[in-house]
Parts: sequence; C-alpha cells; structure tokens
Amino acid sequence: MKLSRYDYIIVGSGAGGGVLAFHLARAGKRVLMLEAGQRWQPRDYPDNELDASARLMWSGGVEPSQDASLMLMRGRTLGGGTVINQCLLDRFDDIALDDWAARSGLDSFSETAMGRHYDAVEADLSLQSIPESDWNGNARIYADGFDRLGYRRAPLRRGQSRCDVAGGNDCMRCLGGCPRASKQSTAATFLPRAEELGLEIITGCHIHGVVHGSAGVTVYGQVGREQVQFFAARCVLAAGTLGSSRILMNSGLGDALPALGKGFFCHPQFVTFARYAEPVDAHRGSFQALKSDDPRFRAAGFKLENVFMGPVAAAYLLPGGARAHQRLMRDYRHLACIEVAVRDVTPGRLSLSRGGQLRIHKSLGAPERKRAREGLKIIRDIYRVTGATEVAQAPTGIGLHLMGGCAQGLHRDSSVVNPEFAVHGMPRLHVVDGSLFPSAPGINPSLTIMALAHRAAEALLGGAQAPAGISRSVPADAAEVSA
Amino acid sequence: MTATHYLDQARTAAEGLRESSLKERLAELALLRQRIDQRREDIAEQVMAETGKCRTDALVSEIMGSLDYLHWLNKAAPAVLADEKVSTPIALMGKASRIWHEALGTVLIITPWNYPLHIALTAIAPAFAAGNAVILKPSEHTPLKGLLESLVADLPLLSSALQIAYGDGDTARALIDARPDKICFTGSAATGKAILAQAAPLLIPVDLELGGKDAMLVFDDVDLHRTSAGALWGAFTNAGQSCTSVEALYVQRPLYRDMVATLAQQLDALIVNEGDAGDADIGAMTTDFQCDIVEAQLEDARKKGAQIHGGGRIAGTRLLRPALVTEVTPDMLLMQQETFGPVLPVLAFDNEAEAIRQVNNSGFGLSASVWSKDLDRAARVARALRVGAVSINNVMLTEGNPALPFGGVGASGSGRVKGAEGLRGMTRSKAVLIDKQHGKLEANWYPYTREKYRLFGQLISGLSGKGLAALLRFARAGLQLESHAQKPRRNP
Repeated sequence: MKLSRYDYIIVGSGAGGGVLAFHLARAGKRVLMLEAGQRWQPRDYPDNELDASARLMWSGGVEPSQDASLMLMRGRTLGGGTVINQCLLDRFDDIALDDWAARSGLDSFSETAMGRHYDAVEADLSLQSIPESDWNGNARIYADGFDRLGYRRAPLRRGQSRCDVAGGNDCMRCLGGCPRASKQSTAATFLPRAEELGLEIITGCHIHGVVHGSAGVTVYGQVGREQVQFFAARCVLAAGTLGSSRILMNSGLGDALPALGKGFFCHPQFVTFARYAEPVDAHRGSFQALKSDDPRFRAAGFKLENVFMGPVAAAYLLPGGARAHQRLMRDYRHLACIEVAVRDVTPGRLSLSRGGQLRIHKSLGAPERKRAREGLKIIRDIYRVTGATEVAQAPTGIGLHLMGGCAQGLHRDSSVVNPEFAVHGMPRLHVVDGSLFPSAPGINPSLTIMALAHRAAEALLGGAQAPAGISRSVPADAAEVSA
Repeated sequence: MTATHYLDQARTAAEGLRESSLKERLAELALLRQRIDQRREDIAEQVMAETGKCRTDALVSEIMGSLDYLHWLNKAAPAVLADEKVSTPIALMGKASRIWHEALGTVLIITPWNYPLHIALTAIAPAFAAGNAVILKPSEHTPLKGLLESLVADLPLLSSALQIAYGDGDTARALIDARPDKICFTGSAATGKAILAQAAPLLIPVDLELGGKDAMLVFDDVDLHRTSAGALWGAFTNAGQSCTSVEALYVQRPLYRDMVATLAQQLDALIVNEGDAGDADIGAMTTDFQCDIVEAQLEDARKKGAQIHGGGRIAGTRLLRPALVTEVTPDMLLMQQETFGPVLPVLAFDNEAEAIRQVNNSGFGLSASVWSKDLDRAARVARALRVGAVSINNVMLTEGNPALPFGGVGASGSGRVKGAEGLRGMTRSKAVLIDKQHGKLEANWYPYTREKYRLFGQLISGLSGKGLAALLRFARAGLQLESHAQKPRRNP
C-alpha cells in the first residue's frame, strides 16, 4: 500500500498559505494543504457576526491575552484571516521595512526589493479604490472631520471585485465570509486556482506538530477524533502567528529556537462611536471607504480607521449597562464609528502551558497607551467638529493583525526563520505567514504576507530570481528541487 | 587482503594478547566506553544514516545498550574469567584442582544490519576481554565503515586484536574456510544453517543467534494502557527489525476487543520519520528487500481475510507506517515466517494451556513476554515456554540487563551471548590438577594385583557406604592401598 509523499505540505490557507500553494502548484509541485477550519460555499457563510465569530474564528472569536487587556481574533476557516478581514491591501512603506531590515539584518526588506513581489500578487487580485460615490454617512463624517481639522486622508484600496454598492448591495458582511465572493480572500482567489492546478486540501485538520527528518517532514494532528499523519519532502507552516508558533513549540523546538514565540505583536485597536442627530447609516454599502494618510499620524505610530460593524458586534463594543446600552443600540442607525489602530512596539511573548495550551503574554505598554490616547483625542476632535451629540468609547481593545513569533532574520538567537524561509537548522521546515514579521508595521499586513509568500515560493522553488540581498545560509538545500 | 591474511594476522595478534593481562585489556575497553560516550551524537548520526533508525532507537539501543554492556563487562569479567579452584575428592587427597578460562584464539564475528554497533560490540568486547583476536564481518548493508577502527585507533591491544573485514557472504565464507577458532553469527536462520554446514567439516564451533517469532501473552488482569504501550514498543522499536520484536500478541479473550481498540488508538499516534532529532517514534526500514517482505506478508494476510489497521509505505522512502493485524489465521505468511518489520498481529486465546501450545508451536524460540497481575501464573507460563528469554510484565527487557544471557531455542539458534555465559563462550575451559613432587606411587598405577583389586573394592564400598563404619572402612582401605602401592610386584 502506497502512502502519499507530497512535495509540500502547507499548514494553513490564509494570506501566506493560499498564495504559496498557488505558486507551488503552478510550478507542478504536488501540494497538500491542511486547514483547521471548514470549507464554505460563499452563500453559506454565517450571516451575522456572532455565528461568523463562532464558526470562522479560533476560540469562538476572541482569545484574550493573559492579562485580558486585549481580545485577539484570528481566522479558522478555509482562507484563514483573509476570509474575516476587511481585505485592505496596502503595501508597506520604508518606515516599516527599514525597521525590519534593521532588526533582521536582511536588506531585502525595502520598498524596492519588495516591489516585484507586491506587483506579482497584486496582478492576481482584483483591487479597487472605494470611490466617493460608494461613501456612506460614516465615511462622510470621517472625511468632513479630517478636512476640517486639516489631516490628510486617502481612498481605501480594498480587495474586492463585485460589491455592487452602487447597485444597492447592503450585505454588511465584509468582516465575515463574503457571500458574493467579491472580497479577495484566498478562498475566492488563489485557492480555487491552485486546486485547478492539483492542490489537495483537507479541512477540519488540526495540526499538533511536525517532525523534521532527513528525508522529509512528518506532520501530525487530527481530523475530528481521528489521529492523522502526513508526509512531505517539505512542510510550510502558514498557520498564522499563533498557529505556526504553537505548532513549533508543541513540536518541542523551543530549546533549539531561542527566539520562538518572542516578538509577538499586534495592532491594538480602540473603537469610538459617536451619535448624531440625523441617521448616519454607517452600515450601508462599504463598511470602510477611507483611511488616514497623514504623515503626522504615521510618525506618531497610529492610524485612524473608518470602520463599522453589524449590530451584534456593535452590541459587544458599545459601552454602558442596561438602559444606556439599550439606548445606543436603538440609535444604531445614528452611530458613526472610528477606530484608532496602534502600531505596537512592546513585544509580547507566546508560550505553551504544560497541557499544550497556547498562552499569549501581551500587555499594552506605555507607548501603545500613549499612541491610543493621541488617536482617541483626534477622533473626539473629529466627532466634535462634525456635530456629534454623544461620544461612546468601546470598553475593550481588540488585537488584530497578529504578527511575529517566528521572526525572519539571519541569526538564531534573534530569529526563527532564515532568509530562505526555512526554520534555522531545519532546511525542510518553513514558515510563511505573518509570524515572520520582525516588528509591527502599523499597516494592514495581508498584502505583505502575500508578497512574502511569493518571495518564499521563489526561494523554495530555487528560482533564478532569488530575492536581492539575501545571504544564502543553506544554498544547497534551497536550490534542491524536491522529488 | 585475503581471508588467510586476516586469519594469519589474527593468530599473531592472539599470540601477542597472551602477554597481556585481563586488567590491561579491560582498561582499554573502559577507554573505548568513554570514547563511545564522548562521540555518541556522531555515532548516532552514522548509525542513523546507514540504518534509517530514528534517533532515539540509535541512541538507546545501539549506544546506551553498548555502554551498559561494557560497564557490566568491566565489572564482571575479573570474576568470570578468573582461574577457578574446584574441590578435589577425598580419594585424591593432597592434590589441588583448577579450571582456567583461556582464550580460544581467533573469533570470527558475523553481524547483521539491524543493530550494527550493539551486536558487534557485545561480541567483540567479551571476545577481546577473554584474550581473543577478533575478525568482524559486518553486514554489507550497514558496514559503519571506519567507525570501530577510529574508536580503537590509539588503544594498542584492541587495535591489534580487532580486524574488520568488509564484504558480503563471499567474504564470510572465505573467512570461515580460513579456520577461525570460533564463529559467532547473528542473522537469519537460512544463513545460520549455511554457516553451520560450512563449519561442520572444519569442526569450528558456531554460536547462532537467529530470528524469532516472539510472542507476547497477555492475560485479562493487566493494566490495559501500559500493556498496549508495551506491545507497540515491543513490536515497533527499531521499526520491528529486532530478532526479539513482538511478532504475535496473544490476548486473553475477555480483554481482546478493548486491547485492540487501545492498540489502534495508540498506534495512530506513532510518528514515522527518519533523520529526526529524537522526536520520531519509528524510523525507516534499513533495506528495500525487507520493506518488500513486510508488504508482501501484509498483502498475503489481507488476501486471506485479515483486518489491517494502519500500514503502508510512504512513497519514495523506506518508511512504513506500523500495522495492527487482526482476524489472523495460521495459514498467513506473517504467522509462519519472521516478519522483521512494524507489524503486530493480535490473536485471542481462551486459556493458559492453549496459549502456551500456540507459542511453543511456532518453531522459533527466542524470547517471549508474559503479562499478568498474577505473578505465580506468569512464572508458571514462563517456565512452560520453549524460549531463551522471558520478560514478565515487560517486553524485550532481558536484553536490557547485560548480566542476563541472550540466545534462542530451536530455529532461533543456540549458544548464548552476554552475561557470564556469553563471556565464557569466548573461552575454553582448561582443567588443571596439581600434585606435588614426591616419591610415592599412586595406588591406581601399576602394578595391578589381586590384593590391590580387593582393597579397591573395599575402598569403593567405604566410599559409597554411609556412617562412621563406612568411613573407617574407606580410611583403612586407603591406607592399605597406599602402602601396597609402594611395593613392587613380588617376583618369586
């Protein structure tokens, strides 16, 4: 009886795994993708935030940090985080990339060196800038406030293909699975194309660990109650920051990788609502249409986002008890919402409990609090100058864009993954997801994870177009094309 | 170098070793032990690369096992190899008796590919300790080229006493024809028979450590979790390529169903890979032909109605997923031949006698294990089994104690390695009787006379009689004999 030996096993199907799978499959590789979540047809995605959280995310939607100062969210569905994010696809600037270059020792982290990879993934996506005609009341308040206060703003670039806001679409489901397959999640883009090229996908497969060997990597876990084990010449962890770090730690690699689980970052976000006398109808059309584009904000380490959410999530985030809360909820149509997203600088740490449970040690540091306060002050200013009758601050911070834990870099003491995207000392085990990030960029990470996946594909396939500036620490292996 | 050269050199080395003391030889073995310990990660790497073993198997069975043995040998050898005093009967009063355990001379050791280091070392070390020169012919599949040479390089006695002849069966045949003083072979029954046949007309003694179809007998009063875990380890350690691997698990019927379920669940969690860092459970098979044998046996069993849980070969590798086989019948190849792979057939039995009969009918008789809370029952069954080793409430553990002998019964071979018996197996005993120089003639020497004959009769009666009277009779006859013996035959 022959058991399959794949060229690659990819654990995770989000921005990293999805793009990588496509490029590997296109190169003729036999690829197996293992995804913990389920496969959904677009029309079957849950139609409200509560069900979406419960069924498309890990731990039912929110995972608290150890001190409960942040509620973290991550996708657990075919397509991973790209199914539940807003699909805001911006390139990183040199402010972010220079910091990465300095921390990692890799000069391939620059706008110029990344350009080719951004170009490549953007070419495979439908990217649209939200036109003013698609603005809802929330966007207009945001624009008005920015203009009155003299801050720079810009139209949002989003991965979407057929939202049809102009035609009256009002589905409010951008932050769950997109029922129109408009949002450019990997489930709607790279994965179906990769499957046409032969990618095999097993969903509902929870991976516990990997064993790196001389002939390949064994990946073990379970599907339902059944224990499973797969074998490939190489394994790529693309299970996200928490997932990839957990798998490596649970595989007993903590001792060999001193930097594993360290340098965990997110973008803490604090939502502030405001009530207006007239209906805002922030739920209409594009949930998000604008972004802050002010160099002062960037320098200060935050950005303001023009966001909104469905009533379930609004109920979760609106402050106050009983009557006060009820009153705000009743005025849902009159609510505007802006959040400050902070560029995190205080590194957190991931660890495993004795029982193998992931522990997230992440506190809001003084710099993050200060950045949040500065942003919140501007949000209040915006609400003030645009005539809000009441301002309501959400009681909880949300941690989005989970990053780091398996930083890419040159040295084992300060990084986990080498420039060829292999775990130090383990030439057949790779990591390709947001956990590679050496620091928090302050910009939505999805597009850059995709670009890194494109670069990783080149490195894995041993292409001639090796990324510039990379010192080849394991040249023989990187060039090896697996059987 | 020809076989004759190897033997000539070995004979010269053996002569040289006669000048060395046991203490000197053990001192070199102690240094060898240190060296293995210091280089254990390198050694594990080389063993893994040649055998496909997972790292823990390489470290624990090959290296730790060898170190354990060397440790035991160093402590035990002085007593085991010491000259022995034995009692001298009263009829030989005034004389002393000794046994000297002397080197055989040259020992040819032919080793298999499953434990290339451990099996070689646990034969080389006692042979050398006993004062023999050794020629090792390792398996051509796992020669570990240069390893032993480098380990003994600056040990003067050991490096001259040990030669390694790399090659296949032809090399072995040529070496046997060059007439070593003893052959120690570990390997298959077929090759064992061929070696015995070749050695017979040359009158070379042969120790044969051959294969097995080792059984594990489980009564229904055991701890299910531990016993199942033991069965899986016993069946799959070294990917099942151990002569004492569990190859048939007999479970008392009331426990059978639960045990099969537990085994299946535990088996699914076993991780297969090679070249690991200590985190794979089951490594690769060492040879393609052994993979083929295992797969053919499983296919045969499947065709004959067996249920197989797990199994399968990962394409392009020698990695086999372990297999649990139920619905096993005696006509299946895997119940008739040694499997030597990660396959565990599980059978049910109803009573003790039936289980013993089934085990003793296998033809092989290497080792077995008996599992029961009732230690009396376990001991009773252990005594009834026709095997060379039994672990009670554990598995493959007699090998874990270097003081215990290792060897089989029937088709599993003869002779023992390890333990005092194994060490003595590298010697021949020399019986020595010591008398003093004096003028007296012995009573049993010439001349024979009627009188002497009569006195011998009285002496024997005294010797075999009981009580003081008999003793007196014996003493009187003895004294009379002694004085009679000094007299020449009367010449009238």
